This record gives sequence, C-alpha cells and structure tokens, in this order.
Amino acid sequence: MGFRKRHAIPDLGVGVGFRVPHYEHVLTTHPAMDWFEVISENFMVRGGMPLANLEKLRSHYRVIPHGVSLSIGGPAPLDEHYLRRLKALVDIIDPPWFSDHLCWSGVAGVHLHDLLPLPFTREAIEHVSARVRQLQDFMQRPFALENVSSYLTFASSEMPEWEFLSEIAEKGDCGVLLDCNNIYVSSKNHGFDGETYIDAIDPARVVQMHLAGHTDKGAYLLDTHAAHVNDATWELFRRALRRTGPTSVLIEWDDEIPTWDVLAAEAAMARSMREELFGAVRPASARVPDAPAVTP
Amino acid sequence: MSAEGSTSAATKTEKAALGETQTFFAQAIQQPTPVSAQPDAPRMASRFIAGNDRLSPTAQLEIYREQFWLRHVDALEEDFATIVRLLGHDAFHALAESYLEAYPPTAFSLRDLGADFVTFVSERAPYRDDPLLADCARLEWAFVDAFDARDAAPITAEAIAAVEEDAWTTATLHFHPSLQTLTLSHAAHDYRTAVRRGDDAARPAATRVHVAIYRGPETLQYVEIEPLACALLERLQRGEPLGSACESVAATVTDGGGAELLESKVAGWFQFWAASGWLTAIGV
Repeated sequence: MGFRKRHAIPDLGVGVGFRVPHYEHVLTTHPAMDWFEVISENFMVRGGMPLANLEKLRSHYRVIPHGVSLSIGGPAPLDEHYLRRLKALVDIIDPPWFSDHLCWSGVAGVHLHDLLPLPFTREAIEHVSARVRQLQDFMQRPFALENVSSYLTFASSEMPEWEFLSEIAEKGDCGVLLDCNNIYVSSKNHGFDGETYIDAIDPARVVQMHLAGHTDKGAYLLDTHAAHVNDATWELFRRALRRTGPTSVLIEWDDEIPTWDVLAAEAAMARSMREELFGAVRPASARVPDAPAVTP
Repeated sequence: MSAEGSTSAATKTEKAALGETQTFFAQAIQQPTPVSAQPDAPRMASRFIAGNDRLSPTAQLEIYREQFWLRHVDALEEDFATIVRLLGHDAFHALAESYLEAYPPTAFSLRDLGADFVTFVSERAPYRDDPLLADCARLEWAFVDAFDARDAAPITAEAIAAVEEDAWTTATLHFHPSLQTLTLSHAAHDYRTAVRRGDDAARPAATRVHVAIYRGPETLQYVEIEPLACALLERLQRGEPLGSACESVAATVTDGGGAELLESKVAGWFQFWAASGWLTAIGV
C-alpha cells in the first residue's frame, strides 16, 4: 500500500501560506480558502500574538505546519530542543502531516538559515534517511520532505536529484512535498528535464505540492517566492497532478507579497487546473470546529 | 567561466565526504568577503562544486554567500530600525557584519538573531562611545521579547480584594511575562516611535528616563514611569516582598521623607499596574 493511503493522507484542496500582510483580512473576514500552511518556526514561541493568531486561524481553517530549520541533512545530531518545540506545536495543530526541506542549514553550532543543497551521494542517502526515521519515530506523525531549489551541484554527486529524493523517501519511509517551482528553477540552473523529475517520483508518496514564482537573475534563477507561478511551472504541476490524482496544493508567496485578491486568484488557477483534470473534487478541508485551544 | 571552473579528473575520482563538504561550504558563506577573494576558497570550491557553463564553482557558492548576508543583515535591520536611522544604512551594514562575525547565528529562528546586539554595541568600539546606540538596542530588543513572551491573565479585582490587610507587607507580586523596565540615558522611546512611524526625528537629547514595555491585549505598548516606580518594579519582579521592596526604595531617597513619599505613591502605581494588565497574581 502506498504511503498516502497507508497514512490516510487527505486531499485538502488548494491553500496559501499564512503571511503577515493578510492576517487581518483572513482572521476577520474568513475568505474562502481550502487550507493554510504556516511556517512552523514562526509559531514555536512562548506566547503572545503569534499563538493567538494561530488559534484564530485554526478555528476556521485546516492548517499544516511547514518547517525551514530542521536541517535534516545537517552533520550534527538532530536538535532535541528544536524537536521538542516542534512536536509541541504540531501536537496542538494536529495536522495529517508536517513537512520540511531536503537540505541542511548549519554546521558546528552555527545556523545559516538557508535551505542548503546536499550532494546526491549514497552517504547522504544513508545519513538523511536514518534521520527521517528518527524524526518520524519522535513525532509519531507522517512527515513530508520537500525538494529545494539549488544554485550549484556537487562534484561528488553520484545520481540525479530525483533518484536521491526518491531513495531517501523510500528508505526513510516518508512522504514527498513536491515543489514544482523548485523543480523548474533547478532544471534551468542545472540543465535537466523537469518532466523527467516529475515522472520519477512515486506518486503514492506525494502528499502535497507547492507552487511559487521565482526571479530571473540572468545567469541563474533564484527561488524568491516573489512572483506569479510561470507557465512552465503550471505545466509541471499539471503533469504531476495527472500522476498523483487529487492532491493538496499550496501557493507560496513570501516576498513582494501581493494583495489577497491576487493571491486568491493564483489559488483559483490551481483549483481550476485540478477541476479540469478531476472535476469538482470536494477537498477534505472543512473547518475543524472542535479544535483544542492553543496553549504555549 | 574561469579556469577553476572545470573539475579536474584527479578531484573527480577523490570523493569529498559529506561533513567535509558542509564544513567548507558553511565557512565560505559566513565570510564577509566574496568567495573569490577568500584565501584558497576558489581552489576548494573547484574541488567540491561542479560548476556549469555559465557559472564557476566560486560564482555558484557566491550566490549562497550573498544570500547569507542579505538575509541576516535584513533581519537585524528590521529588529533595530532606530539604529539604522541613527547610523545610516551603510554604517549599519558595517555594524551588522561585525556583529555577525562576533556572534554567528546559532538559534534555529531568526527571531533570536539580535540576542547579543545590546552587549555588542555596549562593548565594542566605536559603538560603545555613543550610549544612544545601546539605549536604542535595549529598547528594540525589549519589544522583540515582549512580542512573544508567555501569556498570563491579568489579576482580577476579586483576587486583589481577597488579600487580607495584614498580608500586604509580605506579599509578592507577579507580573505579566512581557513587562520589562528600562532605565535609559536618552528619550529613545519617543525616537523609536517616530522612526517606526516613518516620521522625521531629531537625535534625542541625553536625559535619564525610565520606561516600561509590555504587551497589551492587541499591541505592544510602552509608558514612561517615575524613577521610584521603576526601582520598585525591578525589586518586585525579582520576587522581593512588597514591604521590604518599599523600604529599600524609600531608603534611596537622599533628602529624607522616602517612606512618606512611597506611601503617597504606591496605591496609585498599584492601581495603574493592575489596570494595565501588568499584575497577574499576588502571593501571600
């Protein structure tokens, strides 16, 4: 049985990232949106407005926590302090899965706050997949790894990225958060075929997809989440959807954040693409009326 | 593409270990100088990084180095906007670089990036020569801490009324975790307000002020407080019983009459603290 079915991962429909410029609009008018993703670290705090806002959000929408600081590929042991705080947050939100990136973020006690690429080696596969198992054992909840955009490849790499990601997901027995923009950005930066990447990923492991825009820096593309999803990325998304069937998808827009209407229109594009392929699928994203209160 | 862009046959056969790769990568991107100007870095980059027909290994690594500095300096600019205004963007950038070299980021969240900023500007030349910088840093960091301090419900009128008359002397007062008192050498609080609003603001004059920063129901707030109230709050927040804290503060009034002065003020202060949500419990 595939990962998604085994863990009863629901299709939440189309969501967007919960970002500060939209807090007031979302929390007071409750616009139509299937679900929201929150950056885990922004809510791993002691109290105050972040947790109050999260509680308000959860009272109307399904919420999925998405981390940026796990450093699953880092050389140091997984940070127990970080894991305890992440588990406290995730247990409050009680999502069907949580996610972070296939990357590393620091070394020797320094946190670089970036999603740094790994060499695609057997050594890295063993290292990361063991840590994925350790993470899921601790969290007692399905975990999804997201492919990152990258601006370099390592001389030591032994395989293409899609084989690297697939093998880690298989050996670590985790889900995949397939970021179509990251595939597009890396395909242009490194000269591979994005469709080959999409076709190589086991659709039964894809629990969620990301869509976003990027910035053309001339000699390379930079993953800025500061623009509309481009046509080529929409096509990669369509191709991935055909393989996965109805799957939760999220629009990320983190810089030069547009008005809510612009963001909602981007989400509507993703929804119409889903409906074009599958008809009007009713996502499992109805509000959760009996969600427990947030306590720090 | 430069000469160091092509990976030699010798290095291709010699696989770099994961930890070795990450150590080199992390060290190179934490340097304020470009990778191309770092001793031996271009040669090492060619060993670890493949490069392509548009970008050399050094140029590819440089993308990450630039992002490291952009991200961290931006985060400090956001947290210490008053210091950016005081110094100007370029000088603040130099300060931020020096700070990050002295205190590399170690916390998983950028929220904690400025945790040592007060210490840095207070101790490091030339910044220590301008005490307004330390005032602004302390004030800005107090707001960061107040933003996500633990929650606590304000004390109720019933709980205050329930304290027996003779229990007040030994009572300990518990305050909202966001409440912080600062003694500043400039009116940095008014300056901060103007800067955060985007208003023109002259450099504040040197004057001793006492400020309380706290989180209200909806927003972060500050209020200027009397020197004796500040001294009393500091003692009470350390857990000193009310009676002994009042005596200690009264004894600091040099021209006598401290006890009477405190007695005339404390009830009013107490009412303000309770009404502002600062008081959360009374231990008897």
